[in-house]
Amino acid sequence: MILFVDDESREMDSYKRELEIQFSLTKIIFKDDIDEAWRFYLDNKDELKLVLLDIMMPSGKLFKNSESQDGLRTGVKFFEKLRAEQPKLKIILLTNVSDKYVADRFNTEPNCYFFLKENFLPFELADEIKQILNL
Amino acid sequence: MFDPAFELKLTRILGSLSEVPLKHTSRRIALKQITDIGKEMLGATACSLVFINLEEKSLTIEASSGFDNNFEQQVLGKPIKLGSLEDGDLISFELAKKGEPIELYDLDEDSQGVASTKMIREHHLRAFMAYPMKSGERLIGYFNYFTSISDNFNRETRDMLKIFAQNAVLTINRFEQSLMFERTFSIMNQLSQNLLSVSSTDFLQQIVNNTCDLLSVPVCVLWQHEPSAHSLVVVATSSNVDEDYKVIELDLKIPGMLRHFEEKRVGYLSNVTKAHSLYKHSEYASKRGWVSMVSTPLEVEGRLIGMLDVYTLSTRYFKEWEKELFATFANYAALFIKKTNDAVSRSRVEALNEIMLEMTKVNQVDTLLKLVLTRGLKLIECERGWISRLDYKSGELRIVEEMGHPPKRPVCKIGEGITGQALKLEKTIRVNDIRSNSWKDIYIKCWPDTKSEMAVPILINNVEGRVERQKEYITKPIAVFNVESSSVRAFSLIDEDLIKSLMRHAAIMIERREFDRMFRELAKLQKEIVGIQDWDHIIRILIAAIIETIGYDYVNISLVNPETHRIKTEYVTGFPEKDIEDFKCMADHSLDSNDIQAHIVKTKKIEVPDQDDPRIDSKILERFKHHGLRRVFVPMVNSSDQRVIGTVEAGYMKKYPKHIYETDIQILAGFVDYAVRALEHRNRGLLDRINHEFRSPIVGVKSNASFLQRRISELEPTLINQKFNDILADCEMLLHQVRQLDHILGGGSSPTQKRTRVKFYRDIIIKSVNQLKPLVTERQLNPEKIEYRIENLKKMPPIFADRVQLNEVTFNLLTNAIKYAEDEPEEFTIRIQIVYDRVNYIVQVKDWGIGIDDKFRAKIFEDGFRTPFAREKNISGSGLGLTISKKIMQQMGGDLTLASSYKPTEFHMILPKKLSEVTS
Repeated sequence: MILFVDDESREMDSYKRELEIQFSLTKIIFKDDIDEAWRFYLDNKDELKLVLLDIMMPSGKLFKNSESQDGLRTGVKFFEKLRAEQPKLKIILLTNVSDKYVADRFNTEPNCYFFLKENFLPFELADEIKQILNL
Repeated sequence: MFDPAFELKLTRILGSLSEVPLKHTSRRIALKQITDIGKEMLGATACSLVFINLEEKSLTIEASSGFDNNFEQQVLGKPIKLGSLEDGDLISFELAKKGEPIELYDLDEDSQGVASTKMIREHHLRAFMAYPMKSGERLIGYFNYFTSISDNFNRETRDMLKIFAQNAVLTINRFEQSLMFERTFSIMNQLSQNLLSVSSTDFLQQIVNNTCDLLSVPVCVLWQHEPSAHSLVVVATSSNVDEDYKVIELDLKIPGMLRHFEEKRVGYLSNVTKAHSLYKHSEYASKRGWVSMVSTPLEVEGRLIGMLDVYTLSTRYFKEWEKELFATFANYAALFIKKTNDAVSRSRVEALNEIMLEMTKVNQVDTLLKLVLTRGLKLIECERGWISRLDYKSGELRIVEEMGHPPKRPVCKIGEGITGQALKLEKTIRVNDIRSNSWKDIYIKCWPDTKSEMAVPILINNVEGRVERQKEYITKPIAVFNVESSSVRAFSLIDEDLIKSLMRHAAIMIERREFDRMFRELAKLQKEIVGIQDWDHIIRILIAAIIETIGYDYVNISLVNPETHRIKTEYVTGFPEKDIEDFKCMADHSLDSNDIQAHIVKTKKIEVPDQDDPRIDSKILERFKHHGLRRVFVPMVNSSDQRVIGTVEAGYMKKYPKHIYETDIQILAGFVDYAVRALEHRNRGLLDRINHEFRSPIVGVKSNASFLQRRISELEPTLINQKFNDILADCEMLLHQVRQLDHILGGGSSPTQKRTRVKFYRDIIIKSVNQLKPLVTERQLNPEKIEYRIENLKKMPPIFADRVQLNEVTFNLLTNAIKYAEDEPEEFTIRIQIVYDRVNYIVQVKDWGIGIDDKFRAKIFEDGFRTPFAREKNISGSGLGLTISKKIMQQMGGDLTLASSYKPTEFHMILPKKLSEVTS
């Protein structure tokens, strides 16, 4: 099972569909709301192989009171929450945010991949995921 | 990203910091308050304040928040060697010497070896940032910020910490002064009370003990002047001074000693071992391991009666106000030494102490001066007098208060009359008989029967200032106290001493009050900047702050143009309007030239140039008569990339004050930093958002095109159609962004040139709805709920307007209505109605979305404004849509207004009929 968390569901639709076609045996779950994504994660964490995560998203109830800097760091906060639960869970940060500091940080995290959306077409993302999951 | 919430948070933090000195009475508690504010408001896991002594290569953690008691007990207040990597040591000597910010965003992988592992492990800390606290160029210490997660600090955190550290320095300075004032008064009070109850020897001992307490120094020596032998002998010392030292006799004929006495100023040596040639007794001191020294001569009735020395056991920097307060205290104590047996004098010295206490309760400078006059006259039992304050811009002494019904007197300038001379010569002038004395030729007569007069200047000594390019300790003139009498020889030496002592204290109080005033006023302006989006407006506030609050009367803000590689004056104030344009034309220099501003851009250093500095453009100097101008240049440095965007030049056009004061430079530089950061955020915030707004639809178009190319044969026709619609919608969004970019760059097409007949406004609405359909369906809303109605459709005359621009405004309003719709699909409705009267067509766009908070009503048309809700919900947008739309409508001779802010939210596009018809 792959969890895909991104609030821009329309822009990401082709990515989602391409993954559904290529990973016919793996369930692709798309969530555009951070709170729903967290609930889904808690209920299904044992079955999850990978999480695809956008960085800039609404903070939701989950991070309402924390410093998500108007959504700019919501994905980072969500990443930290996932990491605290499962240090070995594979996570791809798929984002439009081309901040050097964010990139530097995630490029050194284990089991973590930092991709800029503009560099990956839907089928290219699918290929990367195959490699990451050794499929 | 520009964020008013971020700036509000910042001003709240600065507000909390400014309250620290008012709430607390102990240094330890006050410092702890600073780290508590840091931890709470900056969102740190832990914070600490570390003071650095570079000479001693040591650091002391003086306050912390977020660490356990055990750690605090072990390290707080204890000096630790820099670079020794003991527990608690986070900053090495090499790093501290640079005085730059230190960042480690994963302490577990600390390759530089600057972090102490034990402390880090025990408190589960992972990321660390130390921001230097500097007073001028001098490093005082670091504000340390820790988080428990591995974090690379973003620009906002860096900015926040930088400003926090800068303001922590000011805060520490303020409460240290406040504490020392309180302690000085309480000690003075105690001394006057003990005068009769203790023996003379014990009294001298008390002066020594109190001095140690006041300055927190271990060693103090009180010397007495033996006029017959022309030497000084020890009369009291702190307990740690050995017997051999106590019998030393200092010969005053030695040049260094003599100069020290003659200058009557506080002497300071950071290390006595390095100054044997200056002070003879430094040799004795260095043998005993004493290091830094402060020494003040004691003067009573115009004669030197002794000297008070203090020493430290490690290098210590004494602040100017510490030295000045020490000298005031010492000379106050000297009055007692001399007058212990005189009951009348003693009661007057006690009265002096009461006045000083009373002065602490007054905040306003002129009120303080009035109090000084009335109480001062009473103290020496006189009725006639006045107090005048120096107006720095004109060099005139403005009368603040007069007593004794004086006749009208002429305005006196510095140097004129004995009042002006007292200030110019920086000394008290006492005239026993005005008919026969050296001053009679310049004497300005006021009361016809005056026989004697005294003028006492109010000055601050030892102020750090820039004289040409050198840093020097100079005297700052403030005011003059005058007293007159109808009898000859009305004023005694003790009268002079008492008034001098009072004025010395008044000077320190006034300086402090002025600093407080600036601090408060600038804090208010910082708050004002938070709500402002407009670049020019922020610059105007910066200029107003420099002129009105800091007190310069000439400001020139020059900006760098990276394309032309030049620096050019953009904003200038302080000379006649008619000359400004000429000045702007001339003040335009290549960054490769030898111009001083080009130089500042390269060095990023604050400079106070000499009058004849070759880097100052001589043509400008001649043309605008800038010869007498004393000025300071401050670079405007972006906090994110350290790029210099321009320079601020500020100065005085007139004679006074003579110098540029260091405190003013620091305050000016701090405010310039704040304003530049605000400017930077506004530009960057907008560009960041536009950047993101571009990326998102490009990714949409690219991914959809690629998906269609590869999968088209497998897809259902409806999905293919949907994908094409998505592509078209994204393209429309992109074009929309391009138009917004046009607006930022100041371009864009003029609507008046393309005015055509818009027969059916309905077409425009349908086009916009079609363009936005994917957005509506993405939010699971029903496009059918966008309704359209025209009143008396058949009778309605055609509208003449620019179709493209009208579409742009409609598109903007509809986009907002969709973005800000309620989450419940049933509640979604947009209603567009055209009404018209004799004058206007009004397109009413109503929606039943979340609405606009009334407090943002006035702001929604401002460049870059986004409501907190939009930011919180991450609703895309540059905050320019409504600004652009309003501008378009206004260019068409109409307007865009908000008619209702909630249920419905209603915008009116107003188009004047007449103009529309005339143009047709």
